[in-house]
Amino acid sequence: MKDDHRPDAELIVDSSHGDDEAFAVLVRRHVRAATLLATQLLGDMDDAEDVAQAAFIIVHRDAARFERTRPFPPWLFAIVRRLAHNRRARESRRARLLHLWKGTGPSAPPADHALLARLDADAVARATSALPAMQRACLELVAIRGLTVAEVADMHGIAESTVRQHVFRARAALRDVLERDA
Amino acid sequence: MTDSRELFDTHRVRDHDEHWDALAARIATAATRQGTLGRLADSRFVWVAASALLAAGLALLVLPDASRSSGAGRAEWTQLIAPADDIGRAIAAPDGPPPVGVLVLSDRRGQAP
Repeated sequence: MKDDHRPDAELIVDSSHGDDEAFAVLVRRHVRAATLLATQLLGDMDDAEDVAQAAFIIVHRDAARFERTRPFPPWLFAIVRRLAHNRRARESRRARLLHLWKGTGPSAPPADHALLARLDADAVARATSALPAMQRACLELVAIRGLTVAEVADMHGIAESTVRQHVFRARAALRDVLERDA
Repeated sequence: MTDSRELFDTHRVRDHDEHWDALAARIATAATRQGTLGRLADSRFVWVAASALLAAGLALLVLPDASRSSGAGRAEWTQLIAPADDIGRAIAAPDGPPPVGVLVLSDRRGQAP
């Protein structure tokens, strides 16, 4: 399955004709990026995997409607973003209700630890937590997860130049902080 | 476009091939299973077939029992499908087992020149 070099458009057309093997190849090709994006949007790995699965189920259902002249990843990532947004809205409604009922606040989002393993974790955590959210997200996907700028642009629905700018600024800010600490 | 007010880090993601292979297989299976169920639910043929089966089941329940287990009809069928020789017919035709005498006599008759 891993050696299947058919382009996305061909795979999706084949899956719309009932080729489950083609669909499996498509899922394997994009599941990592889709799940990483969902994780950045939701903060929880299990929720992220659920959203990735729901997104691929929609892709499978609507495969016949996909316009094969267009690239596949932006379509997939738009679905992931929409599903994640809906889930977050639902979760925050639930948290508000829980807060009203119990008189306790929603749990805090996970702290931003561990960015670059080879550097001092505390210093990196301090530096990254100070970065704007999108700078941190782009830096993480490009520098840690090894995704291309184009992939990250598709994932977050922004221009490639914007991703480069976020990564550049994040690196510069990190460098400043780490040099100052050193 | 992503609403960038709050984005989480991905350090808890299990980022290795085995994990992605397993996740992809699970997702592909779930999606194709749901697709099959959806196609079945949408198919007119399946609805027609299910309705026909339901109607047949109801008919079996409603029809009078006599038409299904008529004694005369059963005897006719038994005679029709019974073996041609005497022993076979003696075994198949009556409700109970054949008398031994019948079997012995017919066996002797079969041996006689």
